[in-house]
Amino acid sequence: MMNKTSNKENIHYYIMISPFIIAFFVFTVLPILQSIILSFFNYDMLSQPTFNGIENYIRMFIDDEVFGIVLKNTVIFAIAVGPAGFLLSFVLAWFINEFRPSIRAILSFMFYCPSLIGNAYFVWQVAFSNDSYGYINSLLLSVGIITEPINWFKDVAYVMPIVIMVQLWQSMGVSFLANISGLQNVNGELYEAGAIDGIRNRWQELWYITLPSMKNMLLFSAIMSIANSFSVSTVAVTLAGYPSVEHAVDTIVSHIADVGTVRFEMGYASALSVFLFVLMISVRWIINKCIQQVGR
Amino acid sequence: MKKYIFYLTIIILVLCCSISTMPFCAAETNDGKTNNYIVEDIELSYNNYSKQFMDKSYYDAEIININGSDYSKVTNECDLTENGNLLINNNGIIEYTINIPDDAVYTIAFTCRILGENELNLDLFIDGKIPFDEAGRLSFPQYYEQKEIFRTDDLGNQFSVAPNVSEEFHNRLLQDNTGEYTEPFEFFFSKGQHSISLNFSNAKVELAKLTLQPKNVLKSYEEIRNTYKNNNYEICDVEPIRIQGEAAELKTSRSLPGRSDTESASVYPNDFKKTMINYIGFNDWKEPGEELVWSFDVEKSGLYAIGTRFKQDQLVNANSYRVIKIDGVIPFKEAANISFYYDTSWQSNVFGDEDEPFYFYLEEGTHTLSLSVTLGETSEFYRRLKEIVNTIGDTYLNIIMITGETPDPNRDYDLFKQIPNFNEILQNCSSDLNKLAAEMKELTGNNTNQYVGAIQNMTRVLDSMIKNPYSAQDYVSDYYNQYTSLSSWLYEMKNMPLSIDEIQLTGNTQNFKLGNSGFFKSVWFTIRRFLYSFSSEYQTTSTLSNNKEKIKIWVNWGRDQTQVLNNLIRESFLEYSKKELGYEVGVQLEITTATLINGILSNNQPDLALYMARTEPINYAMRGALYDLTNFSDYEDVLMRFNKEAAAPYYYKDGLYALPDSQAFYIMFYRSDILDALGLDIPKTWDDFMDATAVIQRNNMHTYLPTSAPTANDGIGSCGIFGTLLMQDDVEVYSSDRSSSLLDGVSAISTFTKWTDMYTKYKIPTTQSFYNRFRVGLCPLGIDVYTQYILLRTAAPEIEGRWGIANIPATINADGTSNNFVSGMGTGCGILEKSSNKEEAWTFLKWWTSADTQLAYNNHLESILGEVARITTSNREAFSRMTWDLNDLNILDNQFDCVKEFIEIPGGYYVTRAVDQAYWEVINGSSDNAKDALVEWNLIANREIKRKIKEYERNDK
Repeated sequence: MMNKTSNKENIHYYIMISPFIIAFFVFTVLPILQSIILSFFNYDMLSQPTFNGIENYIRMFIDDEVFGIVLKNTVIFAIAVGPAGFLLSFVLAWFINEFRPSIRAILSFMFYCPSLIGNAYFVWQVAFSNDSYGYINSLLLSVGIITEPINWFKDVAYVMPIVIMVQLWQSMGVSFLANISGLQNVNGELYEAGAIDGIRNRWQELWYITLPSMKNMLLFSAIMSIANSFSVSTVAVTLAGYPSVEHAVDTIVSHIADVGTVRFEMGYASALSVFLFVLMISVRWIINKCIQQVGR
Repeated sequence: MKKYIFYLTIIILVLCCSISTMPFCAAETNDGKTNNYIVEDIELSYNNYSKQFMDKSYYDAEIININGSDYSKVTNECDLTENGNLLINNNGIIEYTINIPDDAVYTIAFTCRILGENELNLDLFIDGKIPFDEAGRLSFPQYYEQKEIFRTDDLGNQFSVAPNVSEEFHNRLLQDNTGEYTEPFEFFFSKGQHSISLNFSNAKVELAKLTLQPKNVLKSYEEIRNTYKNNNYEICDVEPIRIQGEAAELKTSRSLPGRSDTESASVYPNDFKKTMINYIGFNDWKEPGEELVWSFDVEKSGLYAIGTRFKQDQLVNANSYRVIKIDGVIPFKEAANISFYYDTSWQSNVFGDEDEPFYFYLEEGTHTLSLSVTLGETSEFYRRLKEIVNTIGDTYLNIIMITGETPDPNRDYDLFKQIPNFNEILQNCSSDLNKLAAEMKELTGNNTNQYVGAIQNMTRVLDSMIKNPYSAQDYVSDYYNQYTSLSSWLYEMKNMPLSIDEIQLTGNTQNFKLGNSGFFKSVWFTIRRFLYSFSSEYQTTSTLSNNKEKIKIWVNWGRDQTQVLNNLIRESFLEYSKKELGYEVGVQLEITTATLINGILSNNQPDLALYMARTEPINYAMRGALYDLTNFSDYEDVLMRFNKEAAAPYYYKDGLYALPDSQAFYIMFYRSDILDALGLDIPKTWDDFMDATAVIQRNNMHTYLPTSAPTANDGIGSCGIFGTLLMQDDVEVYSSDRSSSLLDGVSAISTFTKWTDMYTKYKIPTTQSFYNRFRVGLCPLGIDVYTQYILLRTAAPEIEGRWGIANIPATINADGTSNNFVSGMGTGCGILEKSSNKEEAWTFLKWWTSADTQLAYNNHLESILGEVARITTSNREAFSRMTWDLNDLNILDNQFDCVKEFIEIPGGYYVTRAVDQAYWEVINGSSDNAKDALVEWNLIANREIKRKIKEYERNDK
């Protein structure tokens, strides 16, 4: 009885959030459900789907020689671009926050710029041009470090580090901005109180005061950068093409795109996406646990 | 192996001898022209030729006329027409004998009519000899008549109409059309009998008359004005005679249509809603010799000034130049050099000098006014710069033959001792360039423009080298960069774009109505136009909105291409469909980035798809998304339009699911000057090619082969020359039942090894910009897609006449014969199974792949985007009818005949991918053995094919 009345009283809240809920359901929840269902089918988009049980999953783990490679690549990217990128952006934010406001503004802009201008990573394609007159090749040649031009994006030894670097350059901006605004929101009085309470150095200040006060910001920027790192594919595909040489920088996402759009196997592509989905959910759970530990 | 070492020894020996004779000595060439007409290696430029008789002045000679039919000798069959003209139908030499009364300098003109669309190419011999270099490559444009300027569609938008070939006889002066010389060529004849021979290399021409005019020195305006005074001519104070720029009646190019400026309120006529054809020119009208002719009526005899409203927003801080002719004659010296200065908006000017306008005397009656492109005052700069750039280029080759493309920074090359006169050459180039830059700056009122910038960069490098003689090699890459940039500017310098909105003539300059619209009017126009752009009418691209039968096409191109196709549909498809089907079929063009699959899934698919990538038709066909074209009874006739095998990739089972709509192939490019200097012949076989590669590499240059760079849906043809080699070695890629890839077979592996060896053993670089390296000579021999030919021809004037194309190297068959097969790349167009207008869609496909449509589409595109935008049509007739150089067309045609195509099978895209992956594995050295790499990847490809076959078998059930 009590419940019913309170529901009625709260109905306007539900109405207010209904546009989002509906959109969220239609554009996010439904597709997820749909791909979970489709992952048990054979579906080429043009003819009727046919049920084939867990064959897609069996194929993923047993019969797909590319899957192992792309999973490995995805994990490498996730670690390099996610946690490493996140730490880097925090440290940078921490340093830059120490500067005078005017310089801080300029530096923040510089670091945020790459994310702001979207597809600007094309410049790296020019810089790492495989021609001997490409910027980096010609620089290395003229200094005498190399004797013939390196085909950066076609050589397994170089393509991964380059893509990671470009990805970091491009994606660091967002979490950097979140961190810097988190740092600025820390109450300055806490530092004074901390000093009285016996904080001895900057590291303690950081661990006991700064980080706990910006927990939410950390969570946001960690999730942003790590979630982002799993779906890294555009940069790699643009710079190295798909398939990249010996699948060196292909990730699960680019593999999904290939299976779905080039090979017309939506069922299998769905199974791959479901796998990626589960992977990302579990990683998010781990991040959450880790952030909870901050300051303890 | 022994053989190889033997060859290498010989090559080294030859080199030791030849290196000492570098730099380039012009080698003797014998082009094998017959009939005593010797094409000597002419080093005499017109500039030097004309100097020989500069101080002679014999201008009082008489005009000499010779009828076309009065030839003294002819090597080919020629007909006489009813009017007594000579009809030349084929290649051939026609000789005339003339008697020159006294030593004199003449210009030569002939009155003729060119049949067909190609420009006329001609070599001129005097007394059996080509008098100077340029006379060996004369060309004359066809004239086109524009009777109807535009048509209007049912929405009220105007669109331009293609002009017709002019049937009239035109007087054509022998003159330069490369822009180096602004005046017609002058020929010196001594007293006595001479022979003039014309060697037509593309002739369908009716020759009426040959005229030798004594050199006629143009009077200055000063003198002309005095004659006006003496004759008591009066200035006509009348309302201006208005001529619309777009209304030009005669033009030298098919692709010089009226254009529409919808953004400016200043152009007349204009409308914020409708597209109006309201000006002419822009980038269509920029090459030396391109001419527009307008005609107009004069009601009162007297003196008129001429004013124009024009726009010259392309040449920053520089002038565009035009020659004015009234009734075909340049009235005075200044009229040959009218300048139009840069501004971003429409401007007006009155032809004249600073103090007063030039007056032109016009009698009552009809007159013509013509403006033709000239380099004017900059022509001399162009010529001088071209000379310097040539020297810089030759010097570059000399340098890299010693240092290689990337010099070792730790080595002392001592270039100044190694290259004869090196210091002097650099000094001269630098000082010449400086002088040139200063003069150019002066011409445009001390404004620095791009040319001057490029020149200054070059001199900076030259000066640095002179200053640091022991580290000169450090500047090699900078030298290369500045040299290529200077060469591109040289090309730009030849372009004189200009837009003309209106020309007015009146005696009283106060009467001109040429001003721009006021500020508020412009703003109001822009606002209304902006608001209107939201209306649906603005966005629709369909033709004939009220058509009942309509087909829908999705295109994923720029607006230009869509607009061109749309215009073409209006111009000819409606008529075509009426003729074929009995009713007009409307076409709705939608610009979208959506893929076909999106459309089919949402049940909103187009009726047909154009330019599908190589493997797409099969992919769609096996899933039942495309319609089998063999259901149309006349499909075999349509296939006759293409190369014999062009449709091979689009067959699935017994059905044909697409027609080829573009097809490209490789040809070989060579720098004749460099090959000559190295004593190399043009390679005929792959062995020759590899031998040449060795020689070229010994000289620190290299050859070029395209690398493997297929995207997801390209066929094997785009894996570099692997496809070509497979074709030549007659290796089947797929099993005869189309169920597996045979790339793991012995013959396929040996071809693959041969291919990868070219990169690993012969060290042909896997990546390089061929276009730039070919221009500078770093890469004097290479194989690339034939579209490069157009790029080189239009955009690389500094190597004009120093390069050529040839069929790609052949493989010697087992029986001793050889074959030149080359694998094709291309796209197809097809009809969707779900379409409800299949008959109409088929009609469209037939229209679209027809020679006339392809040609018109190409011509329109070229007129907007330049010759470089030439489409790679699959229609053989359209291909041959495009404007090629005739000798080169023979080679291209030959090669086109040798194009063979691979079939495509379900999952075949994975084979392309496997080849690409295996290739890079071998190149990168991650797999030592080409065989292992290919076999391993082929295994994966075969698995994919098997999966696809299972999938469609399931679908078939």
